[in-house]
Amino acid sequence: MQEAYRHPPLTLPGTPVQEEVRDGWKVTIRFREEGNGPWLVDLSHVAKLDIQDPGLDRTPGLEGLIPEKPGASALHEGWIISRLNEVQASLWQLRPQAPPLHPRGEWVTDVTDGLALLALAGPQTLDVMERVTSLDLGRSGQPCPSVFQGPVCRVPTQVVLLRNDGSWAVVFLAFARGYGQCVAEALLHAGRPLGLGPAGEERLVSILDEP
Amino acid sequence: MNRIAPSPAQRIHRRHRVSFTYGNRLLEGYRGDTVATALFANGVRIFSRSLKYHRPRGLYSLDGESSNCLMEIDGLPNMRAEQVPLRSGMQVRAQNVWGSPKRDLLGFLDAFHWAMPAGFYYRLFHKPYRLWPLFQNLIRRAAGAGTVNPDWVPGRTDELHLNADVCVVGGGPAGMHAAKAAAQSGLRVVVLEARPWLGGFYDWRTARYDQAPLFERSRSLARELEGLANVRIHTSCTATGLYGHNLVTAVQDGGPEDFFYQRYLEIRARAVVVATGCTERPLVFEHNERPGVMQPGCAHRLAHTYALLPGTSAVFSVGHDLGLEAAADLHDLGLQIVCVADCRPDGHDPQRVAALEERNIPLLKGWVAARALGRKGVEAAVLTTTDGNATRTVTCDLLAASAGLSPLTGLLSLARLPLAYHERTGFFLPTSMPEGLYAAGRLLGYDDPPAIELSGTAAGRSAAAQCGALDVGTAQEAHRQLKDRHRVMRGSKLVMAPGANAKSFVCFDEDVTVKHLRQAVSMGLDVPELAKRFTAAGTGPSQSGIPGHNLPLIMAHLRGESAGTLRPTTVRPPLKPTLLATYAGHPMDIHKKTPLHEVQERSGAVFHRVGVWKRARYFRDDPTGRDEILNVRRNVGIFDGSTLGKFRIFGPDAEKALQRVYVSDMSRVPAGKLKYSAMCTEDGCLLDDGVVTRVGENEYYFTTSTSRAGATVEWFRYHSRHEDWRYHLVNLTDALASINLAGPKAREVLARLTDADVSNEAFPFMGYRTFRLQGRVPARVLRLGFVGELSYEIHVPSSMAATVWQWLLEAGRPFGIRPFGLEAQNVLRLEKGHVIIGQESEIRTTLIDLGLGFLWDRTKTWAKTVGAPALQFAENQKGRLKLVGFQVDGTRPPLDGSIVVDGSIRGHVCTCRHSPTLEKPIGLALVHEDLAAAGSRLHLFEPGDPPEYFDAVVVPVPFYDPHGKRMKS
Repeated sequence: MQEAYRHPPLTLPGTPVQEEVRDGWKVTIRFREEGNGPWLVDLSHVAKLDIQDPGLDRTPGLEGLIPEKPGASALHEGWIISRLNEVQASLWQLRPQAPPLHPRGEWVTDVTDGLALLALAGPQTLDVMERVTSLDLGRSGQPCPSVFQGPVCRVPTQVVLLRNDGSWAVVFLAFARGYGQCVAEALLHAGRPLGLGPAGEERLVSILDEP
Repeated sequence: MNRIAPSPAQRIHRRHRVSFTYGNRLLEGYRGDTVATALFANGVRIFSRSLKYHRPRGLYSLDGESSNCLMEIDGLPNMRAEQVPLRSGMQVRAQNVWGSPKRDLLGFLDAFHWAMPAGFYYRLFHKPYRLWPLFQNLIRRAAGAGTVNPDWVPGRTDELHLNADVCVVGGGPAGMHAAKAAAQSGLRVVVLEARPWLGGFYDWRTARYDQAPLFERSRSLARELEGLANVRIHTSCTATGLYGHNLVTAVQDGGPEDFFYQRYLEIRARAVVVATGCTERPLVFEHNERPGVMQPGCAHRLAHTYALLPGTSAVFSVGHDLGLEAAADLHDLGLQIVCVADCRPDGHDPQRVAALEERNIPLLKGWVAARALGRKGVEAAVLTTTDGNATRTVTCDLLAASAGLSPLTGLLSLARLPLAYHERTGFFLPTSMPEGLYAAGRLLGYDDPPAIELSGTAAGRSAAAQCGALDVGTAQEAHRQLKDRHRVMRGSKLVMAPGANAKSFVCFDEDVTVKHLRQAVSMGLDVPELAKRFTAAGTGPSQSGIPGHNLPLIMAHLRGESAGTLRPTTVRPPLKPTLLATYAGHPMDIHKKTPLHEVQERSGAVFHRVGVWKRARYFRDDPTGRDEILNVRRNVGIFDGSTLGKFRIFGPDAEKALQRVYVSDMSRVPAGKLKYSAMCTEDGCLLDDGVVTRVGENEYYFTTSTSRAGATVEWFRYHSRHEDWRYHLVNLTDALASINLAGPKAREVLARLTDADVSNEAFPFMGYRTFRLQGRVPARVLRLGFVGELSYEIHVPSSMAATVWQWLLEAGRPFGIRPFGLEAQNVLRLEKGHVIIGQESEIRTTLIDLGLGFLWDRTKTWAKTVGAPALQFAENQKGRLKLVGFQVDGTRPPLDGSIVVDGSIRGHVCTCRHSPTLEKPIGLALVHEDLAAAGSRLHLFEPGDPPEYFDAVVVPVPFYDPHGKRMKS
């Protein structure tokens, strides 16, 4: 097994029963008891890129992939690509087997280590979210995926609403790494009465695989 | 328990008995009871004693308008027993009594009311002034209601952030119709209702409308509303505030099935409908707060909601038709109604008058209660004509009295809507409503069911139109119907009976009487805001629940003016007392940890909060960091500087942006070298400092202080907002950790981790290099000298920082490496005379005052550098503070913040510490210019108990290695 020399910004409670070392990260694939959801998954190890340029749409390597309008997101072969504003986009690699994207140019910054990334998914996900943020994720007619920017647990956060089926939802939260442990604990505290618990990467992948 | 036959409207569950204790008595109630109704069922009639006079107080209302029923429940004081749901095992205690509520040893104070005129505490207890400490202690012990138990632990709290199209405050008939109308337009609706159920003033009433009793009608409507998927209903939920952009705050009490004790809600709505209804307007007469005096609505609800007869023989003194209805209904439930006095000479609902006649209940029009007789409870009532010319005394044990209705306008007052007196209703109402805010129901003066419900529908439709979900015409149609077919009620204008004086209570909480108000007016404190503060009326736990709209009406009367002359006092949030724990919410302190937090923790770091971060202040047991400091001077230390701001700026105009915010000429930043510079405010005061290096064509890497990292991007953007520049900023503060390796042996340690040439020649002072550590970890290495020794700042990806830290510790072990914390760094940089922003700088100190004027390039005026004009202006200004170094004569350093004095204040100490390196106390201070020369004597005043004086002398800085040989070695 490779050596894990990279440390994540947070540790979720629970006993991992399957782990994997990937590019120096120790990734939890599955926890012993993951319950019935909703689930909180740590994705801080996944690749994250920041792109800034007035001509975003022409970014070499990402032609046609960046959504046109600020607030819109798109899922592309396991990557979530979000348009944050007129000149800025973010890219997160959600699936471990996602083909790499290689945007080229000075306008690309690797911010993998700068952001903690959590996935919140399953039943009552939006009920958990309304305990920690005033962002209006449940607006009727809200297209999915879409990106919001605002406070979650009082921390500036990018929130991608990937899916909302009414009772089920999938949400990704990215915020400054330093807040990682506190925000994870705050989410677990807020969601505990609703059954929120940690889960491994396998759970998220199976959710993403669902039609 | 003394209950009457079940009412179809009742809310208690007779199959479920609930046991609780009151003092040392074990009592029972039913599920659905409140603590107060359960006590009432068990014969309790005196619930508390009043604050000042210790007069007996009983159940007056069921909505918490007064402090009559404040009790300690399960260890929490000042709970409104009439609003707390009864639960099994509750422990209830009376408070503010010496003895018991029935036999209070302080009850004699009532006999001395004459010695406590209005505002007596402003005048009595400090003449002679030497007696004030004695009186202060006595007053403190006697004052207050309950006693706080510091060991009481709140249950779990919760918070909800809801977004809605329409928020309806008030779940009575108007509110429910408003919610229904908005929901039918497909909008998201949130309904907040303070009571445990929807229904409002329909909930206990058997009067019929549209072929059904009102209570059935409201429950049917509630079921309909609860079945709508786009309506969320929160009961036991009181709106506590209304803020800009229709932000409504609320507090919800948890029920037995809820996981929370109390929950805080914020509702962001596009439109808000306020349908909070009315409360009964207290009638003011002599002994109007005796146990046995209660609101007619309270009496009515006791019977129908809780199956309790409020007395055996009642007199009613009312000013509205609901009082007539209550009297007739209670008669049918077994209460003997001796008579009904109605202060209105005419305008009664004929059906209700007929109902009284059918029951042989005398109705005295133009009569009012003037006095309640009895010592600890009502035994009789004195009635008088409203002109005071005739009286009669009637035996009774219940006096149900009110002067009519007052609208619950608290939320509208919080919206800063000025209230004006409405002549017909006698209400204080807003003269206009802003867009997006609507009012409905009894609040507006409607008092018959069709009008109330239609006004709710109209408000709901207007809210829907505001949200674009309904055409304006349809919304306006409902308003037209309302206006055409209905009229607001004609309210009674009498609030104070003839002869009201020293025992006529305007404020129950603070024992403020009509006589006190008369005294205040005569002393010139003749407006409600002044009288409130002078007499304390409305300042008690109920926050004007009783005096409310009565205060301006009574004061206008005392001034001999018309009713609308004065206004109610300012209302402030929260509208309902709320636990601080509920507002505080989640007990967690949200903060940031550096990537090196755990490894430092394992080394014995003691962390302190610094801004949003937890940082290691020192290691092991020495808060002075002495050993850490000496180790850096002699060997090598390792420090976590990861909180440092780190930024990437790139783009064809990146240099222009740097020129705008940095005072130096940023065109001369060669690759591989660092340029130290500063940012100033528009006033030329030091805002931030850091280093910049060029890392590519049109690309730079720069650092900022920890405290400014979060604001840097905005600062750049703000000061270039009128330019058409192309540049971009990426905040890498969290992406990169920063490890400071400092000390004479630092190079040897670093060399063990890299093949790169780190000799002084290859990597000189103020150099910047990038290489890999252990061939694996990419590092940006900055050679700086904040602590005055050979020093490297190693910036590595945060995920690898802990690994690199361990490598450095292993590599440095032969050289005596050990970590050092913020305190040690503080002293080390002090010895070098280096400034810390916010410690040595303050809002008045320019770059030049701090001795950093050399950073400022005066020639680049074309760049419009932020702060440059101010620096030019201040450059030759006289009388400015200057930063100086000083050495203390003794051995103990004075505290930071100590004052430089010589008959007046001449400056202050910024930082002062004992230097282990120099073995003497040294410091930096900001002093008046004429004290800045080396050799000047300073006299320092350290506040304390007792204060202390120190002597010091101004000396040149740096104190240590003045030529910088060690850091450049």
